[in-house]
Amino acid sequence: MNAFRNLAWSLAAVLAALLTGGVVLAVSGYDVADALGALLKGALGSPNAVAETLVNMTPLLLAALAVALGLRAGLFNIGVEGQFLMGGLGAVVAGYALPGLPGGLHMLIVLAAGMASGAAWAAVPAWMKARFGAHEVITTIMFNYIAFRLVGWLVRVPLHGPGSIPQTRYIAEGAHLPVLLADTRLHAGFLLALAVAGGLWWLLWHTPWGMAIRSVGLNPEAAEYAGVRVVRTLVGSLALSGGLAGLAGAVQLAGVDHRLVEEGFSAGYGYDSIAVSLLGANHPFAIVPAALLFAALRSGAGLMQIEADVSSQIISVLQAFVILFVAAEAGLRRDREFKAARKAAAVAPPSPPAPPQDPNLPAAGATSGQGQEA
Amino acid sequence: MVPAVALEGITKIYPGVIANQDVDWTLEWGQIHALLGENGAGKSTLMNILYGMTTPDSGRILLEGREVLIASPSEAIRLGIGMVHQHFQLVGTLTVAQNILMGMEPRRWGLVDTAAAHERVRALADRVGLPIDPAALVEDLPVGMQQRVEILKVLARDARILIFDEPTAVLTPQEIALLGQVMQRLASEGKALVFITHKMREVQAVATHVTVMRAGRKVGVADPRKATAAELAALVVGRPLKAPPDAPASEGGAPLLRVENVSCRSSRGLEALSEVSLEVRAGEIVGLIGVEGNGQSELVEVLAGLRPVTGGKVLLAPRSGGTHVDLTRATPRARREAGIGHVAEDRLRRAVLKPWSIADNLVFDRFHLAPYARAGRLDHAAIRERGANLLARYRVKAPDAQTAVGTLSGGNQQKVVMARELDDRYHVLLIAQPTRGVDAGAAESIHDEMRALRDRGAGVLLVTNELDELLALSDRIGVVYHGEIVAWRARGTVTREELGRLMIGGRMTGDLGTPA
Repeated sequence: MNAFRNLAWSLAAVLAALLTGGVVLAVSGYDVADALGALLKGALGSPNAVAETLVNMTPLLLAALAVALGLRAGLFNIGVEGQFLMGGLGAVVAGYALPGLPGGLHMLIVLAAGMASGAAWAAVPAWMKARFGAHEVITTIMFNYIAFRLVGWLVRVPLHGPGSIPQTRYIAEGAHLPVLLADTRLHAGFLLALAVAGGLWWLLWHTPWGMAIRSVGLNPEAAEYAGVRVVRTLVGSLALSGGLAGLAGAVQLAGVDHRLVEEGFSAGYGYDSIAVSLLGANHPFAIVPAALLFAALRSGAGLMQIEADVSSQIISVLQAFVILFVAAEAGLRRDREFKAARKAAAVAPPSPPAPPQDPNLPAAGATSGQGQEA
Repeated sequence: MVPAVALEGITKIYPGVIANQDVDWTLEWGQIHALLGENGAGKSTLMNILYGMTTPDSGRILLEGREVLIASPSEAIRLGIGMVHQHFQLVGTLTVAQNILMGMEPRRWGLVDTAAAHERVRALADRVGLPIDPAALVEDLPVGMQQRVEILKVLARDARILIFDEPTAVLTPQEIALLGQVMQRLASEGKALVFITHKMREVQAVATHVTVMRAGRKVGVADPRKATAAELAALVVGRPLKAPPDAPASEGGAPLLRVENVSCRSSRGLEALSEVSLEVRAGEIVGLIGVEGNGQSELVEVLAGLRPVTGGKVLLAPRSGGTHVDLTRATPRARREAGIGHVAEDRLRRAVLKPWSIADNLVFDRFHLAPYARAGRLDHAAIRERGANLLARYRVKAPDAQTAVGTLSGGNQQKVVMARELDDRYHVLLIAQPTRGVDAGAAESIHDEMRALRDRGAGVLLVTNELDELLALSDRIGVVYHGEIVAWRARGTVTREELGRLMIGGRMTGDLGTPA
């Protein structure tokens, strides 16, 4: 019942965002119907368009799960972009430096290498937080810049592949993620990303470690009091978050790019994923439809530019509206729940405002998440 | 005479709960009207209706004989009704004057006139006898002073009807005595006061009228000057309360917890404890009392591993006996594993996670252990089962164990904490303020559980601000003053008056008044 109402509100927020985006288009002198029609067609108009949307969705989903894990532990990992890049770096090196391995095994090694380098990249800020109390928002964002420059130099100098374009060598064929649908780029990474969403949900709500993560995220002082190893939990979750971001990079490399270029490998997946995670209320299942929505906007933008002559940059505006409306809706819901909680508690002495809802009941969150996708 | 407030036939129903049913109630000018009842009896709902936080489903509110609709607290304030909240509604980073005059600051050339604001606060404070420094930051003030700010805030808005919601829950005996004097002064000026409390002694000391509520209904009125504390308590609970067992002090067995010359600093970096030593033996309750801020809270934190020592040792005898282990530098987790349980004094900051269910909170200290965790996964069935069992045993008022703890009343939250910690997993218990905000019936059962734990051989260190609780439970009593334990007394050899004197350093100081 409640899940249905939440779903309805989320959908209403997305619709309101699209309508507002339409108003912006109209005011800017475009034909709204043409533009949105082309956007829809570009995103979902043909089997290939759908496949491209899912290709876009894959790294976005994995990276958003990385953000969500961090936020569940109370950590704002803004370094997903850099960890994504480092994941791609680890994957590409493992992909071409180890020729002659059997195909399936090589692929797994490539993914593991990407995940490990993302985790290692995030482990440094994690250690700095644990050891010196350095705030992860500052350090992870700084590590993004270090990653950009480091990869830029590596690709131009020591890892420069054949030819004049600044890019690495291509990974071995056997390390490619298999294509799921002939004549499209849709690869097995998509299924892996969905499985990771399920795995993260399991970790958070069905393992003691997940319970520890959630307790630290809600109130580290209380967690310490109850005997949770707070520092270890924080460091571990940030490293795993980096590992998921690295996996996103490795999947993108092994599934789509197959070599690392100096610029444009991530295409902002790391930053967009923060919005996707927030849109999905940091719940692994609700993040799936959120990632689908953002991916559809991304992949429809090209056709919209060609057919309706609308700059694909307008997509950033649309995404911003979605976030704005969803945030507003979440604020309203919090207000409603606060009032409801106060009513329920009114038989008792008034207590301070209830904190925002924690999707603590996996079943409810799951229903709403899957519902949004359908 | 037209009463200040007359409530007629007030009914308020929440889904599944009748909060108020057909309540008639009057409040006269000059009264101090105590509203008694267990947690959930409906007294807070009634006052929330009067203060505009919620509206009744049916019934009338008459203010000086005139029917009014009170749709919001700001409406209530405009009508001269003020509430002194149990959880202070203050901004810690602002000054006393800024808090008191918020939204009504004196202005000069469009800017806030700070000098005039301070003058106004000082004048108001002097008039009601609650002196305070208008320039002090609220977060720097002790709890008792923060409450003064809360009271002055209400008076600055010209409230003539004042609702005090469990005002004494966080105060020391000295502060309670002073608050009583202030309430009497306000009543003698003709204001009407409502006083929600669980403590019968305070009712007898200051109230002029008593209304008792149970299960949403008004079940009786009493004359506090004639009724005894036991009679009032029986009216509240609906049955006579047992007198605390008058057993001789337990001698105690082998020393379980040994604290040797422990020193530590407060959060502000000042010395909070200096070379404190004490022992908690098997089968005894050691009670510590002191005016808030004298180091007793820090001592509990040191023993729980939440605050580092600057010197000294903390030693614990293992459950199985044998030589003591040094836990001086052990983590909170290691201490829990060694057998030290802890009821933290600030339950919302430390002891519960409000969005979590009752069942999850009940395994907060042990979800990594069997049977709740098996082979790396949580056994939700086992967690639910423990939740349901303890819910019933501690009579927590909640639909089921999946209810979020944040929606419970303070007293029921405390029952959840108690249910988790008063457990045979622990043979030494650190218990701070066990019945803060808890009604008489629930306090009785919490006390029974504590005695039962002691009788099973556990050692209990109790820190409380309540003299009655201290005297009813403790086998030995230590008085904490300025970071030291200045006196030890055995059960039955000390009076409230003597303890009150010892708590303020053995001297009487006029400013704090006589201890209650």
